[in-house]
Amino acid sequence: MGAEMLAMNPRVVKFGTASWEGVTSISVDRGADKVVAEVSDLGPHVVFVDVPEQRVTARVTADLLTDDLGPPRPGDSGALVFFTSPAGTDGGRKKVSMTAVVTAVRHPGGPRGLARVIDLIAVSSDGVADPVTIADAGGEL
Amino acid sequence: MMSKRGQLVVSSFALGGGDAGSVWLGLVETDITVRGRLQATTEAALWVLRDAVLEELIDPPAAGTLVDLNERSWSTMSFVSYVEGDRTDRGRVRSVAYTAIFRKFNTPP
Repeated sequence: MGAEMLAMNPRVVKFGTASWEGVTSISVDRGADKVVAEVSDLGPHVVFVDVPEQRVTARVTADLLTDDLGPPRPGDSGALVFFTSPAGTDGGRKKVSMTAVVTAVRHPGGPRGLARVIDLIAVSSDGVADPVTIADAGGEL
Repeated sequence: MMSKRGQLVVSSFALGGGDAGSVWLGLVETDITVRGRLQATTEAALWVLRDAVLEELIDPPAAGTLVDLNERSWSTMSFVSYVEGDRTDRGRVRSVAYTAIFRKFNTPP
């Protein structure tokens, strides 16, 4: 089961066969694409709410260290994998993975120079399974 | 929701008349439209609810008393139509929106 999360300075970030360098943060968010809300005939308040369509998005922010004209590009699909740990050690280290599709690549300026911001949407294998997998990573690289 | 009430009015021209006036043909039949959502925890349980509704659609339609949640009663109403929303919503529960129409026929079945 996944969760909303923010990973700061993950040491290893992979997308498909590529390793993304200089990543400063990865955020994973969840939102409703469709909300069903029903009121009754008896009063003004909502009596039923459900979210039959939801979306998991990820945003990867990296320092742009050199000229880079290569991928990723919108539409690219692959397995986004990164590792987090509370103190940069192997203790409590987690591997977060998801199949995702790139939806935007932007290069906003910032106090540390140019950054690369990559937006992705996570894809479920069958529409039921959570697209984000979190597992104990131990010393896995 | 109650449908438009009143006279069915058509132009005289449409009935072969030669003037620009209109003719009343009588009071239109009353429709009561009910919009709601069937909810169940499983797909099979949702179909049980659907089937229960569909079993009430019979030919010829039977007349009965329709009672709304605010205790207003409508006599000699016939269940004539059931239309579902564009999809089954599969979130925490299975649910589907529906629109059911009941009609008070001028000539009851």
